[in-house]
Amino acid sequence: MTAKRWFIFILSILAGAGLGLYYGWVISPVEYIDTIPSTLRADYKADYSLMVAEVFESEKDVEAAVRRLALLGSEPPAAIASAALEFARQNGYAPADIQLLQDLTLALQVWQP
Amino acid sequence: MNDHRGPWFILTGLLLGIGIGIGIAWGMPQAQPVDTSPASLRYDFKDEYRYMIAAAYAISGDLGRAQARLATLNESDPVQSLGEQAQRMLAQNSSIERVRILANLSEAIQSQPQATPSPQGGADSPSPVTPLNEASPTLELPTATPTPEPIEATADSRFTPTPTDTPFPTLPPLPTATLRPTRTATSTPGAPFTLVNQSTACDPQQPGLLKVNLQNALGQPAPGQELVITWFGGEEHFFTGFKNEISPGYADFTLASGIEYALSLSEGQTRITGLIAPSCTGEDGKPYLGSILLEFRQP
Repeated sequence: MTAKRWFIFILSILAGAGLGLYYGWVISPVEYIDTIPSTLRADYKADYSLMVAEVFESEKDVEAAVRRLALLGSEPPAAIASAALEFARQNGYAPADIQLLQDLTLALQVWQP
Repeated sequence: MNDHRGPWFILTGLLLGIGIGIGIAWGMPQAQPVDTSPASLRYDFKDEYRYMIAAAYAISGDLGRAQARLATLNESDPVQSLGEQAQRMLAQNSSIERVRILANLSEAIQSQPQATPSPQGGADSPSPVTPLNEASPTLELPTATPTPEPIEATADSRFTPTPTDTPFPTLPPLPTATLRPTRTATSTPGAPFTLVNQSTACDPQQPGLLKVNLQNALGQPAPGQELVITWFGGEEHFFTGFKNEISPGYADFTLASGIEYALSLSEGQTRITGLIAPSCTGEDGKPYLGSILLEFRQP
């Protein structure tokens, strides 16, 4: 096999690897199952936090809100709510929703376990 | 290698490369998945997520938002999922109030007009309009961030479609702030149900069932109604609307032999006592428990 053919052969392997990676990462990526909430994408986390805020607005039960937000990770609940609030502000959530998240964040910041 | 074998070595190289590429893409160990969707959550977390959707709906009455959120779970039949979760919660002795929250959402979904678009599609279908970014154009958002570029929504990214160049772009503000639907009126308000028919049946395939069918004043099935069955030393709560394949107004309960039950509904305003599973005889001469059929209707 000549050097030219070896070069083309290696080039074709690289091209094939590129195609394979594109297929495996873009066209048919690995689908995760049985994940935990802390791996949710930021918008879903923000929406979950908003749900907690909606319920909190009615119940005024900080401990229940803390327990629910704990699903989203080991960070302090106030930090989780604050991140959701920041996300909501940056992404044009309705003022009423931002207010809900703000109320929740404030309540969590002054909450003493 | 013979140089006169032709270009097959190129194909060989390509196939080899494709195999290596896919192997790397699918086989590369990842410490932890990131940026997942609610659809991939473990079932217990999904239950919690679904419960929070129902709880938020119970507060806001925003059915459109609740349905859009349910759609992120990518389940073929969200109502059935709500029903199954309610049954699990009942089996785990969760409070009736928590179960009722799920039942109310299930009822609202089933009782909405058929013309209302239902976001059942999940990740592979066009996304429903999600009123999360329902900023009114007449209101100035209290934010200093520049207005996001309008981009096309995708199903899996209801709130923030994720193209590759920006981490969290958002949907453009919706043209009106009135998209949030009002709470859907249930089909079964008001008057207590009255018994219109009581009968027994012998079906060896379904022995010992108390089958209850509820209809509202219009003769339509009434989902989401709480039924309380009591017997000496016990009490169970169950709901209509969780066996949609039979009827949205249907519910059943398994009766034990020789025990007298009482069924109450409409918050105790309607009560049927003396319910004992009848005895039937099979073709082989063996006895089995028959079923009781109760039909209720609102006047």
